[in-house]
Amino acid sequence: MTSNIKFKNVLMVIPVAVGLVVGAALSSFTGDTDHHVTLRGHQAQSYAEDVISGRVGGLEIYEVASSYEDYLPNQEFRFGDGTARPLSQAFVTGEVTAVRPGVGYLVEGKDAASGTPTSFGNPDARWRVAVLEVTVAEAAGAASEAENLRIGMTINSGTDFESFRNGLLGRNIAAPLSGQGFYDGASDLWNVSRSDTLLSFVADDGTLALPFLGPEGETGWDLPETVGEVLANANDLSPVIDVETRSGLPVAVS
Amino acid sequence: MRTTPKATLLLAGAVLLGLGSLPTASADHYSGGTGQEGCGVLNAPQANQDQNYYYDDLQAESSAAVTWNRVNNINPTQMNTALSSTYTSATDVWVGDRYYDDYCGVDWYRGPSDPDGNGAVGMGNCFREVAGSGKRCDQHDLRLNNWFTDNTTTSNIRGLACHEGGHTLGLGHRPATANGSCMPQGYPKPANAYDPHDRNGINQNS
Repeated sequence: MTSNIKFKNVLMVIPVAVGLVVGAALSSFTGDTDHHVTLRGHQAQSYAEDVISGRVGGLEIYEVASSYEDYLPNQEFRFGDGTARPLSQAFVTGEVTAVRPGVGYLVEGKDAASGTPTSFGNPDARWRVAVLEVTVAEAAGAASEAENLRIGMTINSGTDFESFRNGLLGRNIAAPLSGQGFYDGASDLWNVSRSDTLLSFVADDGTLALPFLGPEGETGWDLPETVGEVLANANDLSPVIDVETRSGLPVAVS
Repeated sequence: MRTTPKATLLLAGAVLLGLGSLPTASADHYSGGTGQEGCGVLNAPQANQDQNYYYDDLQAESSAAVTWNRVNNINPTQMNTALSSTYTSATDVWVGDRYYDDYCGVDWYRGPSDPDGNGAVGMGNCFREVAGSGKRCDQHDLRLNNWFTDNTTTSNIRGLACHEGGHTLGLGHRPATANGSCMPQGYPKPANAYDPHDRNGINQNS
């Protein structure tokens, strides 16, 4: 009896092992963008979210903000020069209707303070800008009258643009936008606050999904659960937060 | 269509590995492998290999802080570091510092007078994957922003070196409640050190 059970276990292991081999073979096609296999559907959506999440993974961002709401256009900070200004000029929700190639950037040598603009398709580009065309559902701040707008998203040289595009098309997004004119040759192009990281996806029930947070969150921020919560207060001016300089760094004090 | 148990198991195995091939976030705050290179994207370091550092004409405070982190935080783990005077294909961690502007499309911090009051002060990224490695990194880049290092304390610069050095060792960001770690974002760091959780992740890669 015992040996029979062991024999059955061996039989059970074989298909799993075969499956693992098949999976490994499949994985070399689905996960490695070097093979230029375009992802679609949920795989593409996961890929796009991981591209956004991966962008913030190695960035160390110093910020006076201590919450998502601090990046809304209604929240102003008063800096040492006495002027009060928001970290974001606008907040927008809407549907991504197109994703097009923007500009690429070259770097001479190993390092540079900034890049030199080049064509999107230049194989030597170290990073590129994908341009999202968005039909606006609701907006606050400087884009409150906009019906459509364009948002630039930086992607790595190795990011598969087609898969990234498939992962964004038709999805509802929400994002605080820091301003316009950040990218070369496109003065109308908005960029997402916090170095493109605060782009979120909006589910049918209004729930927000923020890819930059990762599985357990890394900011410790109190986060809004729905886009409705954000919009409810995005147009009401909040009390200005004062900023002091401590150890050479701006620090929010109120 | 009737599905046999064997077929189900075969499919499960295939799906498990197929899904595993996609870039995945890690709940233990270890960066794992993303399968991507460049601009802030992380991959775990090459296993069973100590780190060979190269400093690319660093300012004195940057050089001192990175060395301090290597000696006081990394070398006491199972991972060891060495400094080389030449940049070669054997370099594991390239270190640079500049007054970064929009490198990698990032909004970099520009000192106390920065009109935004915030921005990136450092970046750790995988510059080159190990080909066919299962998404391990052959060479990491570690960047320090001089707008930050020129304007803050030695302790904060050490915190930055610890944080970015942690990324090159496969550590991801930690929540602010990680009291003994430099891996949460923000300054001052809870500690300019790797806590037992961080060291466990480092030792797994060594």
